[in-house]
Amino acid sequence: MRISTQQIFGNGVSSMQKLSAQQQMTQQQIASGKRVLNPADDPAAATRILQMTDEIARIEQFKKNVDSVDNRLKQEDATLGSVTDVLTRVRELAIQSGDGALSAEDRKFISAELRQRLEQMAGLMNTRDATGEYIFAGHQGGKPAFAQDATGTWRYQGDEGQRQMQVDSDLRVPVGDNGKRLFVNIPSAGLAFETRASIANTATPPATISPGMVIDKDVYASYYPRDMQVTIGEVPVDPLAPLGPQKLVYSIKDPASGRVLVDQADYQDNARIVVEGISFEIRGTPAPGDTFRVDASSEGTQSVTSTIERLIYGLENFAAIPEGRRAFDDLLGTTLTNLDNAQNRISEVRSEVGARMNTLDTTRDFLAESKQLVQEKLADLRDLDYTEAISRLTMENFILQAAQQSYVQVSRLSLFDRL
Amino acid sequence: MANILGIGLSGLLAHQTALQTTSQNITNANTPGYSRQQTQFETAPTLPTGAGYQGSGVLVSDIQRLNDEFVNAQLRADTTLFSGQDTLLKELSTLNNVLGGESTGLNTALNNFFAALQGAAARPTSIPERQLVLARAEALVQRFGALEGRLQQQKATVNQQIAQGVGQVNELIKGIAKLNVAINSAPGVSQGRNPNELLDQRDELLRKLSEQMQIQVVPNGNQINVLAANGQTLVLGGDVRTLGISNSPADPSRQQIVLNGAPPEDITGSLSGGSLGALLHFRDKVLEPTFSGLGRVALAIADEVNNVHQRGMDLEGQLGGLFFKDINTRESMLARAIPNQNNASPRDRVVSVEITDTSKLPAGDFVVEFIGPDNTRYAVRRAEDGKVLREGALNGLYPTEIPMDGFSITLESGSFQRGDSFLIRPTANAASQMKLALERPEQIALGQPLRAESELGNEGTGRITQGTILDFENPLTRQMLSKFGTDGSAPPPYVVRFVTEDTYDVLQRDPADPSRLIPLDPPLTNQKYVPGSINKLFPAEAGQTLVRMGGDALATIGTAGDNGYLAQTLEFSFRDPATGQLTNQTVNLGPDGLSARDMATALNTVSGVSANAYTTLGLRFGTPPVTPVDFSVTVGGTTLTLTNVQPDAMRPENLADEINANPDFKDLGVVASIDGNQLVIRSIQGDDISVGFPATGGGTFFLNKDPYGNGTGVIDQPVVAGTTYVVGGVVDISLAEGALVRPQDMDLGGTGELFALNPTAQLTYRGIQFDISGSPAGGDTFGIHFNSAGVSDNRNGLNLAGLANSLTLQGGLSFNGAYNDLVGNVGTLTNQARMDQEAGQVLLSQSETQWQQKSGVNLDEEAGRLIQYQAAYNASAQVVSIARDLFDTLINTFR
Repeated sequence: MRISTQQIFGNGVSSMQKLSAQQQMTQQQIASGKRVLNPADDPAAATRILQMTDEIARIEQFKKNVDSVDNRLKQEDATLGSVTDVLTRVRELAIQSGDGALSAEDRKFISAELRQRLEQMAGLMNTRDATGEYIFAGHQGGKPAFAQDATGTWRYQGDEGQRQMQVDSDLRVPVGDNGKRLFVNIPSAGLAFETRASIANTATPPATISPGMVIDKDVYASYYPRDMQVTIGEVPVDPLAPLGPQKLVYSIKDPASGRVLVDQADYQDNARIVVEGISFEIRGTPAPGDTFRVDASSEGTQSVTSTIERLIYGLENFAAIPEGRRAFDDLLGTTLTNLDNAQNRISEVRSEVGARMNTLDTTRDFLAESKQLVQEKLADLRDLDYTEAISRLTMENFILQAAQQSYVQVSRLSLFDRL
Repeated sequence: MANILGIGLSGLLAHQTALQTTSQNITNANTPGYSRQQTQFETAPTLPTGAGYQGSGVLVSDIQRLNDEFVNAQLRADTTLFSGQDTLLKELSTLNNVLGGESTGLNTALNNFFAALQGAAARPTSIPERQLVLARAEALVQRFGALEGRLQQQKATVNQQIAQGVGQVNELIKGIAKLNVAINSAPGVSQGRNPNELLDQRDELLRKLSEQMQIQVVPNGNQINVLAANGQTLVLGGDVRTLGISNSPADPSRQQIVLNGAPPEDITGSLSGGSLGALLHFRDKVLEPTFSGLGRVALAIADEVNNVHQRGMDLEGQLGGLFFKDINTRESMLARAIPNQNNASPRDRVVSVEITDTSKLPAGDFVVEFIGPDNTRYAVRRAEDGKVLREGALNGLYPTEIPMDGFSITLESGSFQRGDSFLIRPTANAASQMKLALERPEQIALGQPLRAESELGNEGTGRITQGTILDFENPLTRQMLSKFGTDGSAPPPYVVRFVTEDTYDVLQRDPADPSRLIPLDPPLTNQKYVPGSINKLFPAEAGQTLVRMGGDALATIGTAGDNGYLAQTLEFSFRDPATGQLTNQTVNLGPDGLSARDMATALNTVSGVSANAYTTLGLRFGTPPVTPVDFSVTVGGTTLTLTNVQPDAMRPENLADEINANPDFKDLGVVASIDGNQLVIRSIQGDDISVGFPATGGGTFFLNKDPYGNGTGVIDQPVVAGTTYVVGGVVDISLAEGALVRPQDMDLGGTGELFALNPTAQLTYRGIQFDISGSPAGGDTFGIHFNSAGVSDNRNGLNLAGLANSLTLQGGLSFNGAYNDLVGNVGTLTNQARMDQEAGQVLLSQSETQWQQKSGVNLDEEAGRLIQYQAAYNASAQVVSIARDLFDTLINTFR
């Protein structure tokens, strides 16, 4: 076979180029620690590598979510713990107040502490998290969960929203609980009602309505569960002189049936209004047309703040006569049951919170395991086997060296040297 | 003796020539395309002598080029192959590195974006978290832009290389033609003496040409003709036809290769092989689909994120706006259709392309062609393979919409005519057009605009979910649904009120008088509730319509046994949306005076129809009676009679208590309630309600029919003493998608018709959904209203973050998956190209070896020849010397 001189040189050079390209590739693999340097090296593996890298990123995110949910739940649990402590103290105070030998002074002290405890309770109910959100306000975390209205009654301003977080591909965990369930919708032993002034009232400053109390269970039971609406009106002092001086009157009716319970009675500031077995006061100067509602909380629910407020009301309006004592005892009985109910609700939620934290623990472990698994698989696919790579590099070095040496030797041979 | 001299001289001359040839070989050992040459010797003519034929020396017959045309052809073919594969590999590797690189690819940006959304969902009120979402979204947009920029850059480079390649081809074919002429006119050619150097040069030009494209070489005498792969002549003897570059009339942004001439001939499609063929293949079959695929991912992200985001509510209580720029702006819709430059004048056609569903959107381009024979017939083809996907004809009405999978083409206006064509590129350039629409972190809609609450006074255990927004427009009709809380203005809140424990109405607050509850339009009244299970409040079928049956009869209140309804026949047609099968059914609602309950029972046997009957009667109390009165109510055959009712007891609440306390009425589903000074009696089954009044007693009463209706019922009809009145119910007929109702026996005389002349079927789908579960009690209410101040709500944030894993793209791919697919494709192609290139290299080096074996110079061999010829030369010189000696000897003899 003929061999041309170009071939001798060309072949030698091109095979050395090929060898050094291989060597370069191996060197890059060793330097980066990766077997697949770009998708074309192993397209099937490359796609899976991308998938696994995405998967790891996702798991990392879920882990972050787990930690953030865990923090919120720990805060909720701690807060609820303090609420339980406050309620225990309130219960002690309530039991104390049932002592027949108490003086008016003692009652004042008890009610003063109760007020303080109520403030403390409100503070806890308006707990905020690190970002300043009110954790018990449902979806409306931008404003306090509970706020005092004009009458000083604590009212829930949030909603029934419950935030959830994704902690795994198909696992969402509730991050908190709303104040309505925790503190408002508490089963009540007695026949309960809530009083409120209509937001459409026009008087300035607005007239307010006290929380009120049941003074005769049996009478109220026969009326229950209907609501009442108090409407302020204006009539001439002298019916014969319609254009003469006017006075304020109030009427009370059942808003559902329209039945009138009290018709145009004279209004007096802070006078006790007794109707259908309950009593309450309206304070201030209302405008004609203003309305107040007394809503029977059917199926007996009463907010925990109302329970405490009502106890304070009972203590402060204690009448030292047999009827008064009986009414207070009734109130106390209801209060104690309601406090128990409130504590039960909180324990119930706390155990749910505990269960959620358990789920989080399991999820955290699971995520860690999954990540480990994916990382191992990823390492198999992407990472370089150093032993193999280094021995390959040594081999390639050796071959390249041999090629270089043989090239030099072959190219040195020339007949012209002998001429 | 003279002969010996002559022979010696001829030997000297011949070997001198041979030494020259060898020197030429040695000096050209590295000249590309040089074929080694050989001196051909032959004996000089012999002379007859007495002793026989006497030789007269040596002659050089020819200097031959050692070259094999078959080897040349093989070398050219392998050159074409390798050069094509090599070019393709280079371009693919570049693309592969852009797409697949960890820092240049899309994955990191995409993962970061969704991680930021998760973070924001965890802390929806945190501005820094929201800011991060915006920053990451901006980075994602930039990444898309950068990727498309890199692709554009590569496309520009490829186009540049194509232009250079075309220039080179032109130079080469001109050179070949010139050499053809030169060879043909070279002296001695006719005697069979070849101009070796010219031939070598021509062969080298042909080899270079074969690097650029696939060619055929046809010898024609001493000349050769060169044809392109598909037979077009490039060189014919001394003539050439050059190539040129022009913009494609179908797509001005695309360069095509033409064969110059009048008219120029487009050979882009038929040009193959070589680096030009590879560049075209890469540009049209790899780069363009990658553009399109990338654009599709960008469109899908923008669209899906926008869809979810728009259903949300931002930190300031506004409905979520666009997160990314709308994918269907007028500008981009028009830019997706490119009219062919050859369309007939005037250029007045307006075509737009709207992306309708990114989950079905295919990658790639399409062509709309007006195929004739008239000016109306059109066909839509897939550009890739020319497959016809749709055919149709214009009906002269504009706009005409051609719905495709995932997008729709609208022919808006203009003189469309036969021969027109439009290139449709739904996904092109989408990646670079992606833009962030949000400006401030507060605008990220992480919450949902609706929330629900159970009334504190509820007696039952019913619980309502917080609700979801499903759609803002009806997915079937694409009509806007009435937005709940548009522009953040206070919407009319809905109230769900349970009439009994298993019947509820959904009502809304009258915007004019918020204390008044009015029915929705269309009504959602008297709905059935299954206690203990999860009940969906709103219709879930987008195609469902509702027709209220009551017709003219709503405006009448009959007396004694006549509920106002006459018999009527209804015809229903139902086309199954899945199978397209049409069924017709006629229902006769008779005899006259049939109750709504019986009509509903008859209607419920029809497929695609569900009927819901109920009756409401309002009795308003005017002035009280003066003497005791009798009063009776009859529903479904059960009568409650109250006799001798005292005037001051004749009050709505007392009557309501009596009715509600009646166990038979309870079983029948009769419920009474109070609305101001009005007694409202409802039969939730749709039985006729009749009330009887005393002949005496005085007092005034007014009857209302359908007091919660839409205002078409009777209002305040005075009661005539001593009369018994009957009120018939209404039937709300829900029609499934594809169902239609046609009343027959129309115009029965003005009154008594079940249907008004043209009953309007209203779509019932509201795009929202709430569930109530548990057991609510009659009278319980739930409120549904705008989620004002819901700043801690992260429901929509979770939905947005969830998009990362949703398989929303065509083929069941996630965003990442679709992009990975793209990377995988290019990776596979590159890998394949790598192997092809290596194989091509082997083939090429084999044929190069073959060529070198035949035509290459071996210096050792030439050195040997030098020695050989030198020796012969020296010997010839000796012959001359001997001749001289002989001559001298002879001369000296005679001296």
